[in-house]
Amino acid sequence: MANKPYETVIVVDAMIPDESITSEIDAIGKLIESQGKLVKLDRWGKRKLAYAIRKRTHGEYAVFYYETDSGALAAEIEKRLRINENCLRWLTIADNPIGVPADKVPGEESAAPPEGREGRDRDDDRGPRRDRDRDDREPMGMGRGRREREE
Amino acid sequence: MGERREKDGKTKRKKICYFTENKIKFIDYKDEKLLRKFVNERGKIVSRKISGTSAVYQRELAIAIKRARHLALLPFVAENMR
Repeated sequence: MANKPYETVIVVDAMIPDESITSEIDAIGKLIESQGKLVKLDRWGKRKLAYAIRKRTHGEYAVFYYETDSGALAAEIEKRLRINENCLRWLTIADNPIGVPADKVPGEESAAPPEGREGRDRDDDRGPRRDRDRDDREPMGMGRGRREREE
Repeated sequence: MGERREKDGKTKRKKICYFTENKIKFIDYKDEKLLRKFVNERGKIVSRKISGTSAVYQRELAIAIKRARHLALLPFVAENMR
């Protein structure tokens, strides 16, 4: 049997007591262990949601990285989550080529090299240019004409 | 190279695809910080024309952003982004 890597992100309601959050997460962990191998559990902790889900503004994020030989386990997990009131959102991905993150602090290591583009562009062989600063100051995606239109 | 002189005298800089540059193999939907760069302050996905992302990566990027939205990492609509 060829084991396939899966990852499931779940967002648990952060309004419920901490013990309940932990037990929800443990329940999924146990389920994974029963049919596959839990490689890593990555808990991001409490985060503010980008938008309210069922009137909740915060959620506890947990990412399960696991290996199993069929999609049955993922299906089983989703079945449980669907009827679980405390679980706001979930997402399962198979065969993520990035694999399991090496250490903690998600977002920190992976978002490291933003200077590749800016750094090089800036101090190359280029002389001063009139429209340069205006161009450079804008975050990506802010063309000149467009801004006026959108706001 | 890198810039082209247009008829009207403005120079246009050659856009660089962030993902091609950094040899990223998969755009991670969990990487909110990265994805935020490709979303405008309304939460809309920035077009290739503006960001310079290559077609292949733009497609992947769109999927990653939509996954992140589902998980409430990114907004569908933002009145004011941080």
